[in-house]
Amino acid sequence: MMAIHRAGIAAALFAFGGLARAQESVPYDVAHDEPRGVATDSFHAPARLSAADGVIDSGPSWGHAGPWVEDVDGDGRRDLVVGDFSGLFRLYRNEGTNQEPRYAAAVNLKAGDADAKVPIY
Amino acid sequence: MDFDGDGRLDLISGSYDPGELYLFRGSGRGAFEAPEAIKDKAGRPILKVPDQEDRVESFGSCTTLIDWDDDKDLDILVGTFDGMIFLRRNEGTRTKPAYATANEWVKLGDKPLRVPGGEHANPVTADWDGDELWDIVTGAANGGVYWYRNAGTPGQPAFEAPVTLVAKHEGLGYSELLEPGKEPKPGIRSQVAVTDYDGDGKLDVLLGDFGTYLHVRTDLKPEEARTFEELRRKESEATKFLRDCMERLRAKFKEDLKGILQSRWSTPENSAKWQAAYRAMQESPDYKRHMEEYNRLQKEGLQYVDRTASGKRLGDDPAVAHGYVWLFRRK
Repeated sequence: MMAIHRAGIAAALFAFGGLARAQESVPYDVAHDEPRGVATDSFHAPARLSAADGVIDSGPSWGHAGPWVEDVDGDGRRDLVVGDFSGLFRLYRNEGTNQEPRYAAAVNLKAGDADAKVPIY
Repeated sequence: MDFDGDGRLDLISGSYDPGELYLFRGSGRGAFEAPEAIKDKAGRPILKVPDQEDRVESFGSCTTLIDWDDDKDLDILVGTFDGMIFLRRNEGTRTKPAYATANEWVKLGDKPLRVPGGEHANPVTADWDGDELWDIVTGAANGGVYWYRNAGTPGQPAFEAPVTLVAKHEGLGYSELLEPGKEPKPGIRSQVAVTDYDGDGKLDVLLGDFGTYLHVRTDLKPEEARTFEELRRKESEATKFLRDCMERLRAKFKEDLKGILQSRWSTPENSAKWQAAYRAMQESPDYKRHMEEYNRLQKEGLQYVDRTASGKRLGDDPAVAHGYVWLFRRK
């Protein structure tokens, strides 16, 4: 909170959540959608996914895990990729099966000669 | 996701600052090329505010590809920080995409779709109800997962009001207590993948989260636990006061800046006005008193928290960040 007064006004106000943007062609002052129903009983109790080195946790990168399931390495088994607030993508190679995935410890997904990364700040 | 129909898996991602979209072209077997910003047909990055003057205007994007208009190519959907979703139509082909220069905002009836809670749309598409039309499933800043059923026709999607698939997180998400031996719960800022995870023919949800926990010491005596609870109650009262002050200040600026383009907010006059108002708020006796109380309670509370728990903290904050991936297996 303390750093906010030093930031630009747009950033400061933005940090406290979505001011109206009176920008042509960008909607503003839009009401939030209200759910028309709940289907929360669609699922079994949720469980955290784990890899060979324990529960998958992007906490050290300030969380914000963003999962993606694809056969990244082309071995026919679907792997798990988790983006996080470092802008990196952790690849958990599936060493089990598609029905019962078993993930290796994470390695950073590579792009060219470097770690794949998108800008965060 | 195969961006350009070359049979190789590509990776696409949104980003936080300034929110451009990135393509990592796949070169096969898990190898990707260096990223490139995805551009529209005029060569400009795809942004919420294409002609933005201030880089915060398009902060926080989350993207996916879908053949929106059933013309056999892939269009781009982008979820925004403030909970809405826009479409960039592919006016090229499946193998040579050329994206429209303007955003089309995804609607719910006549109004732009905006996720419950109003922040952090991160849409994926999947035929959740098996009616052969793809639907939108999205997480939100509140931690919930919402299903927007597509009740349109192929090529002309039209969405129904959302159905809650995963209830929103109860609580702020920050500095929540984790008692010894208790399991965490799904946190805030849900980001989802929808896939038949276990191959049973039913779509499941993977939910990535965020939150920070105060790990309560394992060796607290009953009276210490009670003292800590009372302290936490007082702390949340002080927090509420401070937050309400900030909310009021924000509301006042929202009113003052009504009708002014966001890119024009950061004038020296506006910034000075904001800083002066913020300082005045900080220096008001009531605010000061509550801030001192908050700081005192925080400091006093430290003795009940396990500060050796491993993980990422912000400065002196004893709370530890997490980002788990939860499997919600469909019944």
